[in-house]
Amino acid sequence: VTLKVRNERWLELALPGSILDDELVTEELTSGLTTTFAFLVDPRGGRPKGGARIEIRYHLWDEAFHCLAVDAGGQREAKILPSREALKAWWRGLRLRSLDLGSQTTARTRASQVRVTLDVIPFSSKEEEDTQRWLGEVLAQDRDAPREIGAEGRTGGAVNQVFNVLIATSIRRKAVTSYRWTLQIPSGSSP
Amino acid sequence: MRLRSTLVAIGLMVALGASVFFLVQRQLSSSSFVFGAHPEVLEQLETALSTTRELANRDPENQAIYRARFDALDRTLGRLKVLERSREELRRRYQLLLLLIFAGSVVVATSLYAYRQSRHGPRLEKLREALEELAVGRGELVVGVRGRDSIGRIASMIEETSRVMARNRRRLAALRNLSAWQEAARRHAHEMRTPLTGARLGLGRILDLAQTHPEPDDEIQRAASGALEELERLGVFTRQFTSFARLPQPRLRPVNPRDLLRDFATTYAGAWENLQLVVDPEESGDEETGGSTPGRQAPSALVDRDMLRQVLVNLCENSAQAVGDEGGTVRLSARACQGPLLGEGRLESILLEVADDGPGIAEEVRGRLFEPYTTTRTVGEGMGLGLAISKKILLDHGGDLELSSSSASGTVFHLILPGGIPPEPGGDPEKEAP
Repeated sequence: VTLKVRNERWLELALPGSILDDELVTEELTSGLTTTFAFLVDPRGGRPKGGARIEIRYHLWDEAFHCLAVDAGGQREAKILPSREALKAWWRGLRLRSLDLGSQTTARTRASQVRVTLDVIPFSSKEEEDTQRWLGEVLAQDRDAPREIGAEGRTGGAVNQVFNVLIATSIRRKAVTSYRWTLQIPSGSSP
Repeated sequence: MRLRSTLVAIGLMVALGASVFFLVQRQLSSSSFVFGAHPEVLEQLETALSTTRELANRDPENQAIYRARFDALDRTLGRLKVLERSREELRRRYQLLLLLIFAGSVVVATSLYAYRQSRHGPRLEKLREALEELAVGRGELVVGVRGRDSIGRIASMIEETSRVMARNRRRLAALRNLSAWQEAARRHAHEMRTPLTGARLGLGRILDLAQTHPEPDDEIQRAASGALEELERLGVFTRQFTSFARLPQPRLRPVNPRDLLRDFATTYAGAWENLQLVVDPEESGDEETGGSTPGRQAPSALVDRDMLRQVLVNLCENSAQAVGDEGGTVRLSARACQGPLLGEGRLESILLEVADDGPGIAEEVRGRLFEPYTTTRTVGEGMGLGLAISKKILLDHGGDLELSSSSASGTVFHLILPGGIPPEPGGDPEKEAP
């Protein structure tokens, strides 16, 4: 990962293509789920943090990678890329605004180093919510099924509800792998 | 009690753990989970996706339909994959939940145990101190631990035991003291009786000779008669000694104490000119050591009627002497008392009360009141054996005689008798006794 300061305000991230060659990442990219790359940029000294997000999903119908990059400035870039090579080229060319240096008060108090963390998450928050909702419905149907056919009485209904919630909320996004870098913030600025 | 509560707590913990295990296991093994996470299902769905897309390519006219079907399949496959990836997290949470329940149960059980210990520790320490004091023979203990639990009950038992032990010690000491006096009286009487008989016979012979002498001497006859009278008085004195020394064992019969008092008051109504005998009606109220039973007839007591009458005579004799010429009243009453008045597991006692309105007993005499030869009468008017004999009679009954109170307004004696024989309906039990 390399850093650049844009317009003396934004700290930009440039990403190495090697991340996409990681075996775990490659596997996730072709899973059919939306692989999320979550960047967290942490300037040392308890100052405000920054971040960016990239979502990539291989769509079988199109046989293409549907990509979305969202940076710290709220800028969104969506792409549909037909191959891994195109994906890697797009990835390498990305410049993600990840930290607003203007919010780091004066130049004197500005951090000289940042810690960049990248979490590779196997599915998106939208897929997480959808599955939680769907699972809740399915478990409710399972629970009600015996009552409908009169095979057996329902016991511990309230407790079952609690466990449904417990199970549904156990569906949580968790990184399959993570990367961490500690980098110097460049002193110069590009226009 | 403690073992039972511990077993209940363990049972509840096991039941709770088993319920949680069962419920979570049931959810985790539900058809949705098992079916949805099966690798073959995921594989078949992926194949179905490819097939649908292939069909769409070969049948472009119905492409929209195939696309909709593809999206539905894709959505389902995506959900199952999300589920599959979360399964490990689910299992981890399940294990964490069980661990938390177990840890919570241990914390609760430990806290309860610690609480009980902190609460019981000082109380147990008081019990230990009380038992130590009991062991060294201290009576009338106050443990200072109250409560309806085991410790509170044990404390009450220790207090009761100390009271009973103190009372029994007093009774034993009195018995030993009286026995020693009895033995001394028996020896004195024995030693006196033989020379007394010899002297009486000798004097009788002298008197006969003086009377049958051809010249009877009146002076000798007067001297001999006077000496015989004195010897007779000495004989009476010796017989009293003997009666104290050889008190018979009581022949116990069930007697209704109230009837006994009524009979006594009737029989001895005119025995003391300066004394009026009054039997109090049925009482209701509380006794310090327990409580009389309101409205309930006093149970019968096993007593020797004649000996108990002798005790009452002795007490009334003392009262008559105390009230003097002014006269007075002796009130007699009987009631049943709950509580270990006499120990040995006796929960019910009969208490006869003899109360006069005399000037009271001098304080310096009260401490040795029941010792033989303790009297306030002038020499020659009494030997001071009445109360000692009375005490011995009550002790021989398994009861006791106590000075309850004495003041300028009167003196009260308590005759305590072991009770517990239920009253016979409609009659004096003595009449039906064998």
